[in-house]
Amino acid sequence: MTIYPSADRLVAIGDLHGDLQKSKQAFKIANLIDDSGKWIGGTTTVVQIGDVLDRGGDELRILYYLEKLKREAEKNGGRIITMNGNHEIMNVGGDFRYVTRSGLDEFKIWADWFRIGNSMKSLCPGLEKPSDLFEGIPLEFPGIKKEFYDGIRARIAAFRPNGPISRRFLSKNVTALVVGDSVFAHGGLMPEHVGYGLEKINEEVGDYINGLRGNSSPFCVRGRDSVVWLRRYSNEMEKDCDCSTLEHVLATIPGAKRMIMGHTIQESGINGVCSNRAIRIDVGLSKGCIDGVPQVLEISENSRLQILTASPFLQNKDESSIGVNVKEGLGLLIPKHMPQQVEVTV
Amino acid sequence: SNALMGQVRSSASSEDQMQHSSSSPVQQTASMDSLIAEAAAYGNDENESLEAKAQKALDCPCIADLRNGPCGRQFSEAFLCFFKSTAEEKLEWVKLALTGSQRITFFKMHIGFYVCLCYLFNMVVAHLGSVSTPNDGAPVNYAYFYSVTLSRDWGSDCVNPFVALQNCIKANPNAFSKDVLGEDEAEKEEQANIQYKVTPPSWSVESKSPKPKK
Repeated sequence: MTIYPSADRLVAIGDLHGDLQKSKQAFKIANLIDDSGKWIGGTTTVVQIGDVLDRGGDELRILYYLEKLKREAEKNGGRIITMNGNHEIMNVGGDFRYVTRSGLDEFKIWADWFRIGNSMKSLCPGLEKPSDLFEGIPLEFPGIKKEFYDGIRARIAAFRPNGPISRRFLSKNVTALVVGDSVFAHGGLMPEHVGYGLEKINEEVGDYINGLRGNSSPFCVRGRDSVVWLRRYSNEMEKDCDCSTLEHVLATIPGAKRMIMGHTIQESGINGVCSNRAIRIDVGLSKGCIDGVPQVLEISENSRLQILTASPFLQNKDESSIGVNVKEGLGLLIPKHMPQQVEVTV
Repeated sequence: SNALMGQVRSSASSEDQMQHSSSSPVQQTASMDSLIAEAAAYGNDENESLEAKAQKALDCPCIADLRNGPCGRQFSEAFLCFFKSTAEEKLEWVKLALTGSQRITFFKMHIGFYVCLCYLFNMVVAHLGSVSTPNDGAPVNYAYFYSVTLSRDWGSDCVNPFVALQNCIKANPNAFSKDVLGEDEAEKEEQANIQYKVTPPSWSVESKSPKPKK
């Protein structure tokens, strides 16, 4: 689904990049999960803006965890919508530039178990024999160190179009999303994307991930100005942001008041430009990025924007006692039009 | 609770497309509810204890090979634990393991609920995965995500039997493999010639020139 009605409470969470511990902190500060990781977010709608993959070794753990959380949320009238970031699209296409060593190791282990499961299925007479996980994947990769062949093979098998991990998780992601008066995209939307059709974009990317469009990704997720790579509304300085194009895009989406994006690390935390019509929520959370202080964006029913932030002073090694605090007056530069930051006691 | 005749809730998710029905088990439309009820009705004797039903399920021919070998005992225990979970839990397993029309096909394919369970269990076990230990030292695996999710929500606990099964497989990697060595060799030759475009991470690349020796 591409367009959702407005939610009583909407929480937007930025790039996670393979760090499960930090990801859970982000959910915790918004009161979405308890200390055991169980959903307590009630009827909240959560949007995770993509880039679960790369830069960290917890990718599979996060994917499985989000899937479990989705089920729990749904049972409680809540909802979690996950999106494709550029790193999801990259991995489906075999671009492993930002994969970590532990990321590769995890998939090797995953592949071993997956094949054991297939062997077990093969022992059951009358069942359709599962296809070979590695069918069509080379045994060797000239130029790559031999010790990594197994990991590379496993990751290709998992993520290639119609691969088991792509099918199970990534094909459930949307690429363009509207919830009430908020528009979501990992990088951002250009007028031609809206013109092409947001539903169509989601359908084509989903089809690609499911192996229905061969080996080339759809145009809308390829290249610098694509939905998952765009940075035009994400520059640090407002003057460098293309506010007029943003206004044009918002004007062509019925009811849209703002665009919420990840993809570009905001070192000073979540902030807005173009009169808060462009909200940038990637705080570089993962230890593989800048180990940013967890922050999430909360939008209440009356379109009130708030930033929920973990206090660096109250944070300690034990993630079960994370503190949440307001950042006002701590010497940080707060742009004039920034959404109000609020203290949340946990 | 009765494992075979538990109530099945409709899911709000569009993915599942379940019809909410409360009438007779056999229906024209292939809804999940009707198929589960139909399968449950087959060979179901209300007077049979759950234990007796579980033993019957273990005798299912399609899991005979899985019960042999070094990990047969662990398999049987995990299977029994799963079998004793509620129908709602089993439905969640189906949703996790199968997609769309697969689910309907799977229920229609086999006669008898016990055979359904054999297939179901195999599908589920096929998705077992394992990861290395996280910081606190406790083993984490994907069976955990399945089992603990279900057990915390509905009260049955199959984590331990699943972990025992995984540990056995780790110690006996060929516990469930078929003897198809000949096939593998031929496949390996074929695959060596395939070109495949992948962009590796820089740390995994062979260094181009050898470092000069000092």
